[in-house]
Amino acid sequence: MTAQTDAPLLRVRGLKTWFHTFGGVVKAVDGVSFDLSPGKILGIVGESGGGKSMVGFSIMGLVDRPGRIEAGEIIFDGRDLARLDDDAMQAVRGRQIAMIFQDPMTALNPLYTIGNQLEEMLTLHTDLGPQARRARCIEMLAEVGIPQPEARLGAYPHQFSGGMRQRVVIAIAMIAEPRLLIADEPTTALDVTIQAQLLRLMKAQVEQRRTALILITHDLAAVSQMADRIVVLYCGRVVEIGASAALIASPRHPYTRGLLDSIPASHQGRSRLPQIPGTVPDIRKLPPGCSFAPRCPRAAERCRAEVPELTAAAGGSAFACHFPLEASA
Amino acid sequence: MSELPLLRVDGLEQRFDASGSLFDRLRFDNGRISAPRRIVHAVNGVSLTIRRGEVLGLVGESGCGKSSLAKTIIKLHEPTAGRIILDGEDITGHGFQRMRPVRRKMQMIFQDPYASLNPRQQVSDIVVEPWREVAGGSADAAHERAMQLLAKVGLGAEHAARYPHQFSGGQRQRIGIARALSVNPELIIADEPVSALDVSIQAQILNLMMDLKDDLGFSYLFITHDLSVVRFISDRIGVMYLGFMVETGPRDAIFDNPHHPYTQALLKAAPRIGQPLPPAAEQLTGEVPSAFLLPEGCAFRTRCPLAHARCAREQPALKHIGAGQSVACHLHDADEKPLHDAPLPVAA
Amino acid sequence: MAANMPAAPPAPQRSLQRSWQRFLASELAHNWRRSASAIAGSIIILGFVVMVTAGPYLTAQNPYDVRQLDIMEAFKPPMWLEGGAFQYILGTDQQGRDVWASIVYGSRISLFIGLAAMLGSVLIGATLGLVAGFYGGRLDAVIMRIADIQLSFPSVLIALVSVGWVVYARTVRGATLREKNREYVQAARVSGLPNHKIILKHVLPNVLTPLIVIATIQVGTFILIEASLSFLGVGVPITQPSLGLLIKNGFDVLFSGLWWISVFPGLFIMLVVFGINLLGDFLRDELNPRLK
Repeated sequence: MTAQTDAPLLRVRGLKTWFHTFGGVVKAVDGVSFDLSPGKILGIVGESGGGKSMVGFSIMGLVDRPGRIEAGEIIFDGRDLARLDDDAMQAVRGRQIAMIFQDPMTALNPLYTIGNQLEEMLTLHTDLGPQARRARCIEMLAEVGIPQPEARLGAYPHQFSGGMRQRVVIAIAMIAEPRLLIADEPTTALDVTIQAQLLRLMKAQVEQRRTALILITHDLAAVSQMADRIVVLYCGRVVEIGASAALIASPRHPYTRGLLDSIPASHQGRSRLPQIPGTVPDIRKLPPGCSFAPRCPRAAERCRAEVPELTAAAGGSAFACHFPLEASA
Repeated sequence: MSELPLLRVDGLEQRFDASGSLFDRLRFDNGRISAPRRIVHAVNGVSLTIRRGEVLGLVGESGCGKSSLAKTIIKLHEPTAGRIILDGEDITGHGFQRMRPVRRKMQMIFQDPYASLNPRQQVSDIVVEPWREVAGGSADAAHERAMQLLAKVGLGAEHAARYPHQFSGGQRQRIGIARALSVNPELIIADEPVSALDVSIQAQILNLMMDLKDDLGFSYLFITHDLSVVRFISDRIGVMYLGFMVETGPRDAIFDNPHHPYTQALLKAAPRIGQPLPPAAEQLTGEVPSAFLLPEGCAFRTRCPLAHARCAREQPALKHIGAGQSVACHLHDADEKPLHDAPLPVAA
Repeated sequence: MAANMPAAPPAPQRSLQRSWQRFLASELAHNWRRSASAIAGSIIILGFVVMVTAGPYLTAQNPYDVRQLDIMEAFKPPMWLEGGAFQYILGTDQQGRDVWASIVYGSRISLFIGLAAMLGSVLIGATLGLVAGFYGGRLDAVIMRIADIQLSFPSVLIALVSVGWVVYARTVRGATLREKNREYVQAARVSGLPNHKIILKHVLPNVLTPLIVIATIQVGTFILIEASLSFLGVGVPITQPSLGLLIKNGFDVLFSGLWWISVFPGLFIMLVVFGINLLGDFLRDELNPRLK
């Protein structure tokens, strides 16, 4: 096999992750597809219940009962992760694919020093000797902007502030040089001034190593600053996918439009905010047809009867809507 | 001629003792036993006024004391020092009994729509609880009141007998708003009321809150960390840092012409849709110092790109600089210009 | 079990029926039907309760009535052994008491002590825990020190209560500390509710769940503790033997081959406590919303 530089590292096709619960089948992820190339950043946005976190968990093989991957392929570097058994998946996790969670407090074990936790990744995934491991840990901490990295190796997680802790989490995720990093709401728990620092750090890290990054967040503004491409999820389905700038400037799906308009920043003065009426439907009792139809200003008879397919449009984008908004020039 | 403000807060301080019990505090150093206390300086001499019908937005990062300030004003915590004057009445020292009539004038909307409603209480009971407490009234009257309140916030009669867990986050926040409205308050303190909500729901709740204000004519003290929300909802804005009020002023003045270096940095750091990440040079470095041990002088000087010698010596006072805008920064002190030639920060 | 259910609205009978229907449709009932151990535990407990209530109708003899005892009938083995008699299914003891009848009557004593001790403990423990957790400060310190230093006590029920309340006090205090900082309690304070109303209306209903679970398991523990105390001779009066005292009676003659007097009450205690614990474990998992 010859390595092609632009061949996607990750190719997700028709991913369905369902939960069989007391109240019925929860189709948390219901047919999600996207590609991701090395060094690129893909943003997955949507509101709570949209299934965005579950996409990350599915790729990591971290879906617990009563959930499971019902259908679809997760082709990572030529192998289908959805078909791998636990042991094989274990070898991929951490080494090839790493993940960063929202809460930096619970992502670190309070009983071990951060040096221990960094070094553990190297012990597990590399064959470096003790001296080299230590040197690598210090180097990594310096890279993520921890002052006095050598002294801080022996510190425990509670001795760091929230922002510093998230830096340590990024260091642990990146130290084994994974090829794909999944970040699930990595800056949501942090303040804006810290958030900007960390987004910058993550962007620098993935650019420098040509790591692919999946950034899962509810924050459209953050994602628009970071991602090359954006996937918008609603009720477990992709409603729109496209290049960041184009998608933000000229969304085709009414839901994307609604999300963008709901952000107060884009309005001067104190006129009423354009709002999406209603609430996200119960994912166990989705309406027939388009899930967004009950809240959509453009919905017609057809939307309530027929699920819209994802339709390709210009520039590698696609949307799932019977009556899309006009593409602006 | 000047109208009496609805709320006036003077030099309010809030210190919490976070040292725990005597046993937790005991230390043995150099042959001496001591029991040091750990004091959190949550609010440090904050003054503000809110006029009738006005929305004052308080913005700042976590740990800046904005929530503590709100909870002290509504007397969930007793203030350590300072005065709180609501509608001309000094309520600083009011105990439980004397606060009861005051509760009619001042209510609160909480941040977490999940934690702020008792999971074992019916919605119709939740929304009238403050009203029943101050007005008494029969069960029938309470039921009728509950129906009115639910209708006001866009919920129906069919919701009255349900329990909080049967609602979505946005609907729960509507219930919390109805509860605050039940006594027809003059001031509503809203502590991050939309930060736990999805963005599409956030817009609904913000619209609802503004519609209710326009209808009923009360005032808001609106606390949020979200700059876009504070810009949308406020008439005036106060910016807090580490328990200090660093800048106050009319909304547009704060956004278009911020004077405090912290306000400027905060505005630059806020993610803006479709814009590239701000260059690293414009980002604040370092992190907020601990509220256990405030820096000498100006609280912001440890992160301030423009700090000079005086900032370490002397705490700047909030001073009026014109057009209703006040700032607590030595750079804007008419008496003394910076010692070295750091440029006076001007808005980009 | 009812704690997970909303409080009943006015019209009592209809609402009781509605609550029951709602319970049948609930997730708890659904999971109960799927849990073999929960069903087994419930059946054992139900059998035990039936036996205790129907007591006199299940036995030919009242073992506490000396006039019904016949010393000539002493030391009869169980009916399926040689020398056994049909009327004494599990045999008789030294005084000619039917072992089965003794178990049935003894169970009443044991269950009464178990339940009464649990209720007493809940009442005292929950009250002190709520007060300590809510008000904190010196009151909290005093109550928790009393919890640490347990005094000695005269009679077995008081002994059990005075041991038992500590668990509730600690659990409820912990839960209260957590609940009182939740926003709905702050909202109640902003609403102007006095503290006693906040405690009863807002805090108590939300700390009930762990209470119910511990209470269930503790009935079993109390039956065991009472049995141990009785076995040591410091339990209930000898004229009305509980299950523990029955074991002790038989223990004296256990090694002379008269095993049934001791072994059957012993097996019975095991079965009952096992049933209670099965159900308790199920409730603990089900009622803990933080596990879901």
